[in-house]
Amino acid sequence: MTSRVILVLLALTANAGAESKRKGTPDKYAKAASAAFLEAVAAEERGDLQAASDLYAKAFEIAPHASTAYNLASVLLRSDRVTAAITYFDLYLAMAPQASDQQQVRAVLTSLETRPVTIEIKSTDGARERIDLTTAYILVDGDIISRPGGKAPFVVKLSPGRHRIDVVTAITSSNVELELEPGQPDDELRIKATPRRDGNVIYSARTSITAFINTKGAAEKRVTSGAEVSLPPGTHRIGLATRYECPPIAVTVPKGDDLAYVYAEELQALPPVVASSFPTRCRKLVIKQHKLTF
Amino acid sequence: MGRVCLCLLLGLIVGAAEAGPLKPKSVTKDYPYKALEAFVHASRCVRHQRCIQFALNAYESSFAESKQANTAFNLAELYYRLEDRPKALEWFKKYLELAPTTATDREEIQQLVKELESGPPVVTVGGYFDNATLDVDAIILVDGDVVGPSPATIRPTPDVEHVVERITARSYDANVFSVKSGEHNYVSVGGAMDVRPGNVVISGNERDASWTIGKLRVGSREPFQLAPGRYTAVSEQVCSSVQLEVKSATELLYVYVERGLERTNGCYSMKSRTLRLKRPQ
Repeated sequence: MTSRVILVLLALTANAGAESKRKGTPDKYAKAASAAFLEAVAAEERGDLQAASDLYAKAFEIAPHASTAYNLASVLLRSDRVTAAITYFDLYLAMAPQASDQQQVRAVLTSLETRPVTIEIKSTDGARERIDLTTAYILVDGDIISRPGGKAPFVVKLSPGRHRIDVVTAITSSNVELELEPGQPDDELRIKATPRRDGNVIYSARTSITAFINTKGAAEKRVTSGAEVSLPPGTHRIGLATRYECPPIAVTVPKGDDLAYVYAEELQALPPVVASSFPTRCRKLVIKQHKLTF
Repeated sequence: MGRVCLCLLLGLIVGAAEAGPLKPKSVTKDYPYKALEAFVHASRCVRHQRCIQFALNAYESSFAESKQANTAFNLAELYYRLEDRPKALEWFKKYLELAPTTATDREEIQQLVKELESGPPVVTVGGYFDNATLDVDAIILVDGDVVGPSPATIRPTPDVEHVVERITARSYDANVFSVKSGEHNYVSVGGAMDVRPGNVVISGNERDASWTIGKLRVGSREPFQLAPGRYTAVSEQVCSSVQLEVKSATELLYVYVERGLERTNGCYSMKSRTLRLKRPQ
């Protein structure tokens, strides 16, 4: 990706030249932007990407220009600042819709936006809340990715967006909700758990879905995600609701020390807007259930 | 052969033009920079399926900066996907005001506006729970007919009152609602585990009706208990009586009485239908 120098300078100075006879104000901004741009090019040529990105950003802020956006995006990408690069490639495409490299840049942008993020799951170091992950079930968005007996490193590749991680041992459970931005660098996730968890049903919901348990022999309970639940072995009908009633589900609770894991997620293209009462219904739910044996 | 191929191709093109969901639009050369920047940030949030409230605010900022048809369209499209029909309607109308008369999607959007304004209403009926529990495995009845398990989605006649009832193994609840054309709503009916015992309920479109069965006096839509046997229920309001045949202490005998609109000889005519409902377990 090469910098676009000449075209931008001509554009900025041409504007300055054309305007200078009529108005003073645009001229001084165009000159200042041009000066910052030239400094950025020089910094880029000597390999100082931090200075280059700062100066391109300065030029862009003084006088937004498509080529400045492009150059800035290019430098940010080379500096591994992918999230910011995405922003400026996006602006470039909007500011230069007729550019001959639209398709190429769009392809780069799509690739950056959809690139999976690698997350290594680790336990916290603190003695009280440390978890031995080799004895745990690790679930991502309701799917088991590791069972007891698994070996480190515990690594997952996740697409940008929201994800729910559950880690369950025989006596503990913990969960984390992750939001990964497009272009985010690979990372590690430190999980911790309180030393004891009671209950034989793990209920995990990625969006705000409440479970209602009012079956025979059990106390009537309203349960939110991550709460501890104890139910007698057998099949139970459990109500679910967002802001609105959803169809109920059947949950089979095993005997002994085995646990029932229930995951619920509202299938929707867009996350709901908190302040809004729409949509006025429970959307389709994705339910995943597992028997966890230790 | 050439003519056949051309016809097929035209058919495919027409077919493709008619089908498909709405697609967000892009900026045009008419956007000043500030409006363009807000628009681009909004579009990126939507493309990434996150920061949707930010996207709504950013599109509105862009529109405030420069009233462009494409911004109005994208706001409308986003609200439409969020199922906020009133807002979608508002912004589709703005789009039609601003878009050129030659816009290729004008007809499609006009049709959508018509549907949002006056299309058949859609109502989802389900339990109300708030801070209480939710009694599950309910069945829903609308105007005396079983429509299915709760929650149920129905397409009721607009501008008319409808009776909706939610029955579980332990509870019975009723509500009355009406809805306007174009509306999509949720109607909540009980569900808070308000245990109401009884193996008989006389429902109907008359809220304040009361019935006398021997020495027992009951209100409309209030369950009560009768031993197995035959009974006659009478009301001061209606000309005819309702015959009740209770077969079981556990099965729910449900009677829906539709009262006529006009009084004749001091009482109203009526039609009734009876359902025997095995209560969900």
